[in-house]
Amino acid sequence: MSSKKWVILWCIPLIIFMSLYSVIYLYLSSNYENNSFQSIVKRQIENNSIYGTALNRNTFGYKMELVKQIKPNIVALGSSRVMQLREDSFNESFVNAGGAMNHLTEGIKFLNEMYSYHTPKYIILGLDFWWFNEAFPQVKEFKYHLNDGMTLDKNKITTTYEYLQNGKVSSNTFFNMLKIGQINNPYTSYDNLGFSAIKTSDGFRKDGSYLYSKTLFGIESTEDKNFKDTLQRVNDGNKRFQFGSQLSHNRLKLLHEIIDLTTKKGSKLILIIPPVSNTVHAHMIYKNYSYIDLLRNYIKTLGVENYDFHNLSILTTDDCECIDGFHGGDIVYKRIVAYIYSHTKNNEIKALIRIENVLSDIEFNQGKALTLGNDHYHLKEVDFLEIGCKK
Amino acid sequence: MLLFNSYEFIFLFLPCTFFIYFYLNKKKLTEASKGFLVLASLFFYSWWDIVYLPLILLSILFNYVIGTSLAKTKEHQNVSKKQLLLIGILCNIGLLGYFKYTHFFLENFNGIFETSLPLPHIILPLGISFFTFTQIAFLVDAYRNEVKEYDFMRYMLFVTFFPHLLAGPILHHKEMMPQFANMKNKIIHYRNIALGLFLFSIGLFKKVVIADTFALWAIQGFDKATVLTLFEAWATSLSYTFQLYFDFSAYTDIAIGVSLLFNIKLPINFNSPYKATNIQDFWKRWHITLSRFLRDYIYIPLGGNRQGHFRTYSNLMMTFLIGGLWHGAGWTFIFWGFLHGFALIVHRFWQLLGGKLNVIIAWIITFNFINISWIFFRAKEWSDAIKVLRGMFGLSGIVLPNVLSNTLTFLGQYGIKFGGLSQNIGGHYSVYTWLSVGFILVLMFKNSMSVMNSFALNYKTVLFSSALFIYAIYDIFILKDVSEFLYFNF
Repeated sequence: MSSKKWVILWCIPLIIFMSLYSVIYLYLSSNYENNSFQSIVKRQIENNSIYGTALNRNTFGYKMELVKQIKPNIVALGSSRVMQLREDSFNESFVNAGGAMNHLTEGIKFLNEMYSYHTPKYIILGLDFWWFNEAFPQVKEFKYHLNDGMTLDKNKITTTYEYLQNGKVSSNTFFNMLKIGQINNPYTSYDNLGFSAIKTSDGFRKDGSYLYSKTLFGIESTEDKNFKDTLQRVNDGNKRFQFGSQLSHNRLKLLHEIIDLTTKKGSKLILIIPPVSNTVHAHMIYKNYSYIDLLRNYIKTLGVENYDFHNLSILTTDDCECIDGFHGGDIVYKRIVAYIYSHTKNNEIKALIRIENVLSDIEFNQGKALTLGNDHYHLKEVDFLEIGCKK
Repeated sequence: MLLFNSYEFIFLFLPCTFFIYFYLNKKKLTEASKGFLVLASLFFYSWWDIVYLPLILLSILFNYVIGTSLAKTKEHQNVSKKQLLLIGILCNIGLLGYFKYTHFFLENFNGIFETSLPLPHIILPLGISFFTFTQIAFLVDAYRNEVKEYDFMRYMLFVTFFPHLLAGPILHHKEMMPQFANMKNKIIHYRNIALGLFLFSIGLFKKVVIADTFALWAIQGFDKATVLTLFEAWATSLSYTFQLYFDFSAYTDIAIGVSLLFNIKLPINFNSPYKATNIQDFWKRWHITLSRFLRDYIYIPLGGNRQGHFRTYSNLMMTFLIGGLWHGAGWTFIFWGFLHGFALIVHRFWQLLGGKLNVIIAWIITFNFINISWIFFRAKEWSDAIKVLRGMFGLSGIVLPNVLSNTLTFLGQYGIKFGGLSQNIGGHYSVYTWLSVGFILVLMFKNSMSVMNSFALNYKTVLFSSALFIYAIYDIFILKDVSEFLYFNF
């Protein structure tokens, strides 16, 4: 074999590999599945885009980037159970960092990192009751935080290939992006970033709140029809609904750490206990969840502004406004904001709330999970829970 | 830093430099091509931090001036040749000393005299240890009238040529200048390209796949674990022993491979060092160009072995203490140098007595000595070294795998526990598989240089090397966090 032939043969597999890699790289980048959170948030803010990723699960990193770029006066922090708080309820800049705190330890990490970039005036902290149950494991290391959105690994490549093969995603999106500069779908007129958003507009809005379009518009059926899945958890005492009679002292210490940290940094903390649906609540009272009552009482003794919405009936008796058994919809959270407005003794907090908007949204969207009247949606909300809701 | 294992280097810098260099040569612009290669090398250096570019330029200019003056100066002139050489060497050592040893010196001064002189946090310029040594060798060669040529542009290229600039090999002026001058080297030689790509592939794979994997356990064991049980401690020390070899020899393979693309042959630096059966043999195989430098420019000028046994031993010890200090400004490095100096003295004494050992026993003693001495080389603090050593001698407990707990229950009464074999270093059993692979590779396989010597242009070599290269590239893309070569720190 000649030397020249050897060199050419050596280069051919490399060229093939690099070409394939480049195609996948370009395809994923054009679908916003291989981009930095910095560029994603920048585009979201500019184009009012929805970001719903299928391949980069790092809500912590993404929400941190929202805080970095928006530098809001109000931050809502917690799990997915605060993700329906929306910016249109407030008079000041707002970021929903829901989903970035799935454990108390993760919340502390988020706050510490956030304070190195920005100090919001107000933090609305949603407390999930299971955090305070020793039977729910506390995670200390969060490896998924390392995902910067741009790691094109084997898993990402094979998943993309599978998605393309079974039609979950389309290769057309790449050309659409080149042609019209944004990715649309038949369900909304949003600019969509990431496979989930591209497919159904399911994803985070530019304020960090979540649009459950896949479920709300009935594009795909929910697992929690008739609250079946949540009720099963309650019956079995698993998947965050572990039974418990005592509050975990270690977890309470972590809560105090959060309170001390926010106080030291000068952010005003508002604690809320997010609701479960009325149906689920009714089942829970017959099970061994006495630690939740202890928690609800304990929160009241902390000397921090706090609101207990665990029992949804103080806001509404209508489960149609829920997304599932332990996630309220947009209107439930509008009701939460209105409740805070009417019960707070702090005029500064009252001034934060755009109460006319909130009340009008509640009035016109009663019994719904989504605030309608927004012309970005091409479909209407359906009775996705199949509990006889008139939408 | 523009690392050999970064995609900026592999896909942008190297191809661009290669094509422009040979394009200029094809157009008969040989001076321009030389100038371009110097500029490319300086760009390569400045990528890390342009602030240090004037430093290397100044060092080159200074040494060139001294070198040319040495060629012209006669002994009986006002400033004698010897004085000029001394000035040159002292300035080089002064520069290296300032950047590398000021902090260490002041820290020790404060400790001994109970003063509180402020400690300047001086950043060590990349490659300074290497380009300083290379140029000291040049000055000594010039003093000895061994330098035949003083073309400034070629001298610049000799010092800055990017494949060797950051971590060697440490070059002799006389082995490089003729290659830069040779017109035959100005045209593309496909055989050299094939050989270069072959070595580059092996080196990249060794670094990205093998060395960086061992690094995980070495970091965990040395820097993070608070205590190491018997097996964990051995896994930690062996991981570093293999990491260092695969990392540094990978760098050398890539440097030699990349140089070959430009038709420049760099000297070999490794020759299966862990196959050595005595310490002298080891130093003939490990970092060969450094050993050569230490021998030619320190040991022999000190008197070598020509002035009796005692002087030979003290010269050996002095050479290795300097070698240790060259590697890093720390007592652990000096102690590492002391251990090697002492081992060489013992070996010489043993030879003098006519002692002989079975090859396997000799290998076991040599390898274990090297493995233990690397602990001091790697440890950031004495306490880290003690921690690993304590573990290796079973003083921090012995933990056997859980699967043996039923059959070997009686060992419990001797304090032996059952549990994870590598809990404190990452909890993976794969470390032991990797260590076995490491032993097989360093003991059973030919080294890169031997493979290169028997290199044949056939489908087997092309498939083998392109597969290694693509796998390594894929690893780089996945990991993204490209790690430095260890010898950049020295």
